Amino acid sequence: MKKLGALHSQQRFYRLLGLPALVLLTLLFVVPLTFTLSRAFSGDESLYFGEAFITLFRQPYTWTIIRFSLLQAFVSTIVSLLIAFPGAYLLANYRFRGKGFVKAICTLPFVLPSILVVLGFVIFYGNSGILNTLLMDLFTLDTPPLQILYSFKAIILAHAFYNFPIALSLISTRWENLSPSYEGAALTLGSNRWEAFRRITLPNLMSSVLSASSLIFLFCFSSFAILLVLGGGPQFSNIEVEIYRRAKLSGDMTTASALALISIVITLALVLLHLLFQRRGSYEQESQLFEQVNSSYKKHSLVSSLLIALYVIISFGFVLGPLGAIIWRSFTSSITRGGATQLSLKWYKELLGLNSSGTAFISTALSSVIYSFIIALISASIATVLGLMLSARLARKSDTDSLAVELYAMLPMAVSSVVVGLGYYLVGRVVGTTFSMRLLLVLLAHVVIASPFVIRSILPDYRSMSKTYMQAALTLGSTVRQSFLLVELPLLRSSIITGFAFAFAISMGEMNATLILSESNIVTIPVIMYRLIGSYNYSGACALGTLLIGVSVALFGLSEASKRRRYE
Amino acid sequence: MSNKALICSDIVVEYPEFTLRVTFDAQNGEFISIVGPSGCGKSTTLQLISGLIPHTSGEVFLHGEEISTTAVWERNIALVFQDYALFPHLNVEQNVAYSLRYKKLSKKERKERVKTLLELVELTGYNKRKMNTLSGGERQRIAIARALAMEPKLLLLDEPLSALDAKLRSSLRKHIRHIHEQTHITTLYVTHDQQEALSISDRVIVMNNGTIEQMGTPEEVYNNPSSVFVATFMGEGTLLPTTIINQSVQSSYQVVETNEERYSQLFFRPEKVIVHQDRHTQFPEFLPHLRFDNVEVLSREYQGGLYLLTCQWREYQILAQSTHAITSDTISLGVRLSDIVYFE
Repeated sequence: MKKLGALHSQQRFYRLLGLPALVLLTLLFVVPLTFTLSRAFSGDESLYFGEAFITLFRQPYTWTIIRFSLLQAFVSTIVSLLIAFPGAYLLANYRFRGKGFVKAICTLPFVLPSILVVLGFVIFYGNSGILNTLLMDLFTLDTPPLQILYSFKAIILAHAFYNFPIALSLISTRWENLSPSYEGAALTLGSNRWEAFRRITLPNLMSSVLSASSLIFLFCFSSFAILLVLGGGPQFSNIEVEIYRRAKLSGDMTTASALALISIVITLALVLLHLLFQRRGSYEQESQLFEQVNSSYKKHSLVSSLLIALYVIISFGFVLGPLGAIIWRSFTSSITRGGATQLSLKWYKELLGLNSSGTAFISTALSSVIYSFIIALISASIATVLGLMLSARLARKSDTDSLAVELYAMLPMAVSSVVVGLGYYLVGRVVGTTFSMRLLLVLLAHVVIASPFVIRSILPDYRSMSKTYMQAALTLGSTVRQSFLLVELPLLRSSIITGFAFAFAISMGEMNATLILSESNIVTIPVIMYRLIGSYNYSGACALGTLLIGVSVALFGLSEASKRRRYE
Repeated sequence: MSNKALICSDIVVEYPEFTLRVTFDAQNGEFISIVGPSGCGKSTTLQLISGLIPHTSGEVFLHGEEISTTAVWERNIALVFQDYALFPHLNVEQNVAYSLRYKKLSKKERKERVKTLLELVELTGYNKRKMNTLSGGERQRIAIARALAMEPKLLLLDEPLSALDAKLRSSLRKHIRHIHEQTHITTLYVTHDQQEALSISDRVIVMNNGTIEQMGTPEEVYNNPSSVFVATFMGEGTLLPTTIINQSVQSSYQVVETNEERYSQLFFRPEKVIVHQDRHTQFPEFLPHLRFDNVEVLSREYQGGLYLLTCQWREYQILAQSTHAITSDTISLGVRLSDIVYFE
C-alpha cells in the first residue's frame, strides 16, 4: 500500500527543485576546478606527476609569498577588529541620532568593488591625493606628510576599510542581544565593572569576534586587487597576485595551477573554521532564554557623547572620504597643469566617446559599461534562480545529506575568484576562444562567484520562515507546488531581491576572474578601471568609479526598500 | 457507519523514541476535544488526520471513505494551526478566500462568502486589514474563518487558544462553541488545558504517551476516570491506598464492600470532601462514608469563593474544598463511598 504523506511529497518537491541547481552548480564549479587540478599535477612541461609542486616548494620565494599572505591577513584582521570594537560598544550600548545611518554606511563597503576601494585610496591618500593636498595647504608644507601608498600600510588600511564593517556589525549585533541582566547579575554578585566585562561580557562576545575574525582573515587572505595595485611590487604579493602573474604575465599555467591548489587548501580550512565558529555562536544564541533587543541603553554622559561624535565623524571620514574623493575628482578637471581646478564633465564626455582626445583605454569604456550591465543582469538572474532553488532544498529538507549539501553550496566561497578565473581560463583554452565562448565563460564565472551570496541572503530567511505556512496552504487545497509559488515565494520576496541586488553588485564589481579571463575583446568596468589606474588616468577611472558607486547605492537602496516592506 | 464522520482505526506512527497508536471515531457534527500533556501525541494525531504526516499502519475513514492515500490538498479537512499561519503577504479577505480559488465561484459569490464568514466570527469590515494590524484574538478568529471557508468535512483545531491570555481564552472558547453550533461541522479540538476540554466538548479524549487513556463525555472523564493518569490530569484530588478503608469507614446500617482485594488505590476530588471544624459533630450522613479525624490543616488557599485545604491525616495528604473559611488547625473530613473511584 502506498501511503505518501504530504511530508513525502514536500520532500520530493524540494529535492526535485534543488536537483537542477545542484547539478548545474556542480558542473560550473567542479569542471573548471578539475582543469586547474589536473594542470597542477600534470602540466604540459612536467616530467612526472606533481613535479610542479616539488619545484614550487623548493623555491624560497614560494614560502615568502605564503608567509606574506598569512601575515598581511593576520595584521589586517587585528586592525579591523581594533577599529570595529569601540564602534560595536557604542552601537550596542547607546541610542543616538544617526545610528541607523552609521549602520547603513557600514554595510556599504561590503558591496563595493575592490577596484573602487583601490581607486578611492589612491585619490584620497595618495601623494597628490586629497588628504595630502589638504594637509599641505593647512600647514603650508612642501612635501606630502602622509606617505601611505604602495606599502604594507596601504594594504592594511585598505583591508581595514573593507572589513571593519563586518566586525562592527557582527559584534554589535551580538552585544546588543546580550541580556544586560548578565552584567547586572555579575555586579550584584560582587564583581566590579571591569571584572564584569572581562569575565561575563567578553566571553559572551567571543563567538562573534571569532566568527568575524575568521571571515575577515579569509577575505584578506584571498584579496587580489588591493595587493595588486596598492602593494605595488613583488615584495607585497600574495598567492592570488602570484597566480595572476604566473598565468597572465609569464603564461606559466602549471605553476599558477599549483599555486591555486595551495590557495584552495588554505581557504577551505578557513571556511571550515568560520562555519565552526558560526555554529558555536548560533548554539549560544539559542541557549539564551530571553532575547533582549534594544531594551536598556546606557544613559549618555558628556564623555560618551563626545566619544560617539568622534567615532561617527572618524568612521564617516574613513568610509566616505575615499568614495567622496572619487566622485569629486570625476567632476573636476584642472585648467592648467597642477593649477586650479574647475567643475567639468570632461571625463564623462570622454567615456561616452564625445571627446576625441581620449586615450586608448577610455575609448573602450562605453562598451565596457554595456558589457558590465548585460553580464551582471544575466549572471545575477541565473545566480538568483539557482540560489533560490538550492536554498529551498537546504531549508526544507531535514535529511542527513543536508549538511553536506550546505557545505557544498558554500564551497565556491572557499575558492577565491582568482582561482575560479584561472579554472575558466583553462577551460577556455580547450573549448576555444571565440568571442561568444569567452563571453559565456565570463558569465558562468560570475554565476559561480555570486551564487553563494544569493544563498547567504535567502537561506536564513527561508529557514526562519514557519513551516506551518506551507502546511496551512496544503490543508486549504493547494498542492505543494502551488503552496510554494503562492505562499513561500511571496514571503521570500525581500530576501530574493536582496540576493539579486547582491549578485548584481558582485558581478558589476568583479575584477579578479574577469581580468584573468578576458582578452581585449571583452572588458568590464572594473577591468577598464584597472587599466586606467595603471596608465595614471585617475580621472577617467573616477568617472567609471562614480558610475559603479551609483549602481552600488541604487542596489543598496533597492534591497533596503524591499526590507522595509517586508512582512513580520 | 453512516453517521460516523471520522473513524481512526488503529493508526500507528512510529518514531525512534515515540510511538503513536490510536483508535477512535467521531459522530457527524460532534465536538471532540483531545487533551493531554505536551508530547502525548495529540498534535501528531491531528497532523496525521489532515495528511501532513504519513502513518505507518491503520486506516482513516472520512464519511466512510478511506483517505490514507489521499493527498492533503484533496482531503477537504481544515486545520487551524497553533500559530494560525495566516499568510502575512495577504490581507484578511485574501486569507479567508484562499481556499476558494480552488472552487468554481463567481467573484460575487466569493465576496458574499467572505462577508458571511467575517460576520460569523464577528469581524465584519475587516476585509482589507493586514495581518500585522490584528490582535491575537482577531488573528485566531480570522484563522477559523479561513478554515471554514473551504466548507470542510472536518475541522481540526490545534491548541488555537494557547497563545492568548486567560480572559480572552474563555470568551473565545464560548465563541468557538457558538460557531460550532451554527455550522455543525465535526470538530477535533486539541488542547493541553483540561478546563477548556471539559467546558467546550461533547466528548473528551484523554491521551498520554501516544495512546488514548479514556474517551467519554466531560462528566464521565472527570467523575469516573478510568486510570490514575486521567484522574489526576483532569483535576485535583486525593489518591490513597485502599488499605485505609477499614480504618476509616463509617456505615450506619449496611456492610460495605471495600473492594480491597481487587483495587489497590482509591481517589476522590476535593469538592466531594465534607469539612467539619468541630470533630465531635456527627456527619449528617446516613450513607456509608470514610471519616478522617484529627486532620491537621497544612495550608489554606483562597481561590475566590472557595478554599482549597491541604490537610495531613496520618502519613497521607488530603485535598479538601470548603465554601467557608476554616480557622481551626485540626478538623474532621468525610467522603461518601459513592464519590470514590477505585484503581488497580
